Amino acid sequence: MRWVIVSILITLLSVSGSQAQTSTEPPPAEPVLDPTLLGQEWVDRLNALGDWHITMDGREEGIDQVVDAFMEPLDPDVLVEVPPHDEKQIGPVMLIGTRQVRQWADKFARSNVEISYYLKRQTEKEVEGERMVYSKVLPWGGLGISFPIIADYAVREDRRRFMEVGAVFLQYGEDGKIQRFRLMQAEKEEVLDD
Amino acid sequence: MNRLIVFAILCSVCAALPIAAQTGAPEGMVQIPAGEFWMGRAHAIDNDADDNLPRVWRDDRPANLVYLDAFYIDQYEVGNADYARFLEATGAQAPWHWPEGEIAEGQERQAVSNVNWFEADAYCQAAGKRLPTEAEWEKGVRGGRDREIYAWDGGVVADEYRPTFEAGGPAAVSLNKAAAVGSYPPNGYGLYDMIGNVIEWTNDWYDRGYYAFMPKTNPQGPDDGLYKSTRGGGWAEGRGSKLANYYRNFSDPDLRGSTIGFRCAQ
Repeated sequence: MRWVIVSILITLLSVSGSQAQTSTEPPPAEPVLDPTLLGQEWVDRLNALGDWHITMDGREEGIDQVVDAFMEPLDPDVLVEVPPHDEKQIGPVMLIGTRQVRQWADKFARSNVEISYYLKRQTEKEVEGERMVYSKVLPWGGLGISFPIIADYAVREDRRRFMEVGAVFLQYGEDGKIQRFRLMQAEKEEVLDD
Repeated sequence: MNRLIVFAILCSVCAALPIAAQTGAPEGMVQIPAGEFWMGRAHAIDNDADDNLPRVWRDDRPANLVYLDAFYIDQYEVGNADYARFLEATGAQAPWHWPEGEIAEGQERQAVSNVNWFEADAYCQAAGKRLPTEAEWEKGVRGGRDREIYAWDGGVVADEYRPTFEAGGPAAVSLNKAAAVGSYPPNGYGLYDMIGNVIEWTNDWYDRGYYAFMPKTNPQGPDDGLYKSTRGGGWAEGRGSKLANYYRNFSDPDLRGSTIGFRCAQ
């Protein structure tokens, strides 16, 4: 009799075990691209382009690392539009692929100090200082985001300080890589001490 | 007294010499003075109204303030008769459209076409010259009119088949082929047919992103590439935008086209 009970129990346990094994588990959640975090991360990497220094014996230290960090989230075929990076240029500058973008980032890092771009915040009633990041799921996949920025930086050569308002447009692929970005800045204004 | 007379005679002779001779320009060439100019499109355009392609919109920007040393450039495009002399001297291959390898009757002064980049380069080398860089060509076409769309007053009336030109520009003729060199009015540097006759080979490789980081002094183009830059809207252009000073195009260097010719620089 005990033998019968044991065999029934074994049967029940094996059935319930196999049911548990075949039950449909919820699919792992897809990583969610948070527009505000993405925007803040991009701006942080841009600001970090100023985080290198010249040693006492004149060596440039850390510039490759900050440029690498800026390049890290970019797709190899990234397409970029930035403002003129040179006083002898007129019109938007298209950068095609990571080679040109790296060249731009390197020049940006070497030409500017105290780089401080930040997402413009907006205050409305009880909402304090909300970073206004707009987003859209792209029809071909991925996410597009945009946000207003305020740029505050000094020119390395003469330490003159400038502020500009502008906007950033970023397009992320489904793999989270930046496929396009556009940095738009209005005419710069020099910051003078009172 | 005698010295005074000799001096006066010398002054008269000098004044009578053509400007080209005074600047020491080789025969048939014009000296373009050293200095800066804005290379590329320095203004916005209405993309839709002008029916510009995205590539056109991007490869001519940003404009860059570029310095060039003085250089010489041919006053005219190379004509069939010039090219025939080169063929005679070198035994090179005649353009395929020449009947039995000879210039068609009455076409001696027509701008040569159907020559590939290598043949154009060989011609210039044989003459002790070279093809102009893209920057030299653009400075040349502007004729001193910096940051302008066209090298003449007025604009372009685009036609379905070929452009016509407002007063001061190349004549409004419908040849449907290359014209004789010197058919259209010269620009401010005295260069003929930079626009409106044949498209011209330049020495530079083509890179649509070149202007983003181009050298600001005597740019020589990218180190390598697949295509060579061609400049200057030709007789077959259907859009006014292709006749602009800053318009860039490119072609396989092996290609021989009925719309592409050249001139040399030094």
